Amino acid sequence: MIDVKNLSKSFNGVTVLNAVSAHVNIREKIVVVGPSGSGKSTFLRCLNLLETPDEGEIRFDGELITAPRYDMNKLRQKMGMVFQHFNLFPHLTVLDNISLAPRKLGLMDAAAAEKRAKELLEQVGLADKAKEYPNMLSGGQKQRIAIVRSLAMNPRVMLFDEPTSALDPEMVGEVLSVMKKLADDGMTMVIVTHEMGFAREVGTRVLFMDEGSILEEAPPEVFFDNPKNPRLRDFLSKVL
Amino acid sequence: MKKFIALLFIIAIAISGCGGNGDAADDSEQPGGSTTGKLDQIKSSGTLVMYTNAEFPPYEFIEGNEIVGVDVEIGKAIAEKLEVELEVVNADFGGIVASIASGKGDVAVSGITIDDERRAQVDFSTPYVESVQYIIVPENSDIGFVEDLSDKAVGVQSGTTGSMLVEDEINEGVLRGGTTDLKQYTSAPVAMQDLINGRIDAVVIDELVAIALANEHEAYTAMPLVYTKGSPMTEQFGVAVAKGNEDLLAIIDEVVGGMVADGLIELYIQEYSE
Amino acid sequence: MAAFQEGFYRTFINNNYYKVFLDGFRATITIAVFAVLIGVSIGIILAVIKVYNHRTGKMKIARLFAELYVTVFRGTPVIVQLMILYYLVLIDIKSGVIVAVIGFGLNSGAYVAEIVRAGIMSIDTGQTEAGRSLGLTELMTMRYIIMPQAIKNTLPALFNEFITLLKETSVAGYITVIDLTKAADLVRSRTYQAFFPLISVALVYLIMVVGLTALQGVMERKLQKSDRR
Repeated sequence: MIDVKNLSKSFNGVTVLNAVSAHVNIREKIVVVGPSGSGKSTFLRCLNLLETPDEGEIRFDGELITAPRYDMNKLRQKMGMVFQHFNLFPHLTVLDNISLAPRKLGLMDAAAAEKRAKELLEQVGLADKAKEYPNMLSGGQKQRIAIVRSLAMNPRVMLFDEPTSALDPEMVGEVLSVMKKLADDGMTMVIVTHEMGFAREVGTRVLFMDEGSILEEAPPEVFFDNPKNPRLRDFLSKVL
Repeated sequence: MKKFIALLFIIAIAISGCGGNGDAADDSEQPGGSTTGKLDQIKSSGTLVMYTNAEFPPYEFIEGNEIVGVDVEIGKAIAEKLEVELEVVNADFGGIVASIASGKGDVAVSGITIDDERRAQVDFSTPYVESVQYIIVPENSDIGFVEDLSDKAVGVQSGTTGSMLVEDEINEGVLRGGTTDLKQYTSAPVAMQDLINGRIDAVVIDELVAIALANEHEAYTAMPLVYTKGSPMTEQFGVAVAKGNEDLLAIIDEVVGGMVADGLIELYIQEYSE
Repeated sequence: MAAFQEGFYRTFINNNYYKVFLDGFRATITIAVFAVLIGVSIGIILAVIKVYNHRTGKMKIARLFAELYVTVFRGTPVIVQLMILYYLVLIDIKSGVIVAVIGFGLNSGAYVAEIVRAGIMSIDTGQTEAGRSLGLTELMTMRYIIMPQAIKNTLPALFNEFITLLKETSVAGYITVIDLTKAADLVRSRTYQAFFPLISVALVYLIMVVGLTALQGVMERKLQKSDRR
């Protein structure tokens, strides 16, 4: 589904991604782990072109999305993204946060978008928050709504950029359970996270990144129980 | 908020009450109160404060960084007679008479036309000049009389006699019911500029100013502004002083009368017109 | 008290002078309202150009134009700009009011541009990223996500500018517009009474500004719904 070849990116002369290649198959749940500054967030952000790669190719369903003048807005409609800091729109109600993009992009009329938003809110147990503003919600509630906001576009793949890192510990569970349900429903997902338990339970493949490269790539049971790369072993010994 | 606005109004009315009473005091009590003031005051301070609006050549205009002109010569002559220094204050023409009436300045010499409205506020010396209102038009213009202005755009200098005369004609005179567009400019040269720009059809201004401006611009002529019945728009200039200062006024009359009789005014007009 | 009444009579009733004030009031309102509309439009466009260039490096020429525009219009007195427009540039426009609307609008645009630019910059880039990641275009993100928040943040500064603009229209008399201030001036030069014309127009300006301030309060309360917890 997504095919990444020799992706490189540097900021102000500092190399963040160094010729990274990877592949995401349909219905896979790829979990990317690694120390901070390893380039995993940048890797994720390159997938929907929030960062423009310096070199390399990314194909989505066979289409070269890194080609100049590629319609990235169309691409992003098919790729949902969830951010560490939720990035809900504070000036809009929860319902409008969710229905804004489908309405403005002409995918649904206002009534249909509202109906769909309410259905999605129901699914994450937040139907009663539809008329409230984001500032009145807890972090966990905000992140669940951010997930729903992306889902409202009916994406084919969901990207998660450390979705639980900014949450109080007691709220991590509610967000992870929404993500797990999404995974169980068959969504293709790429998740950057520090939640090793979640990676083991939900991931179909786990990638270890350090210093801009993917150093190890394996199914979770092999990845966690039989790590080969010494740096991964070192990393796991610190986080587990 | 409502209370605050109400408070503002109360303050405003309180101030206006004081102001109004103050005016009344100026009007009614001056003969007794300040007669002794003005002349003595000038002499004791050693300075004669003359108000003028230096945008009215040849009467008063700025040359270098000095205010010069016919009226300044008159001021100098008065100061000399009183044996005091002359201080010339450049002020907005519209406010000059009020400044004199309220005692801010001692005399106003600023090409001020003697009329009844102003007479109610200040006293005037004997006239030192008789000025006819002129009109400046492009050479091919069809404007010949005041009445022709009824559907034209006319430029005037704000606050001048020309402005008032045309305004009066529009409100209750021969231009009433017409579509005259009266444009108020800050000075005669700017009005002239807009005539050249084509935004207005004519400029109404004092004789000498009109002639001077028309001389500088070949395609334009200046002529006396007359009614179809033949009479011209005229006016007389006088020196203004606060009411009730007969002693000061007598000295000014003597000086001004002397200058007119000696042909000095004529001479200065010619000199400053060049 | 009699002098007070007479002053009032001579300033407003005699010769129907109140009509001069009413016409002046109308001119002031017309200039202020339309100039604000022009100023806000220009300001938003210039601000978006500047921010866009700042973030992407694109549209260099437009950015340079915006810089020049702001520099020139903030760097010279509005009255000089008005006179240049009236006597040199827009000499085919007969109406001083229209020239004043254009002049004040252009001038205000420069100030609004800086205010709105600061407002946009104050919005977290995460907001833009969230909008773009949903597939919204740059323009949609700006219009539906960034601008509403930026305007809310800059409301006090914007109203400050509107109030300044309203009061600045009082120099329109320099280009033959008979606005509220010039009306007072004209009547004063006929009646030789300074008190009523000046105090009354001062009060009218004050009431207009108080009204604007009240409007600001209403708008702030409306926009700050989302801040309540």
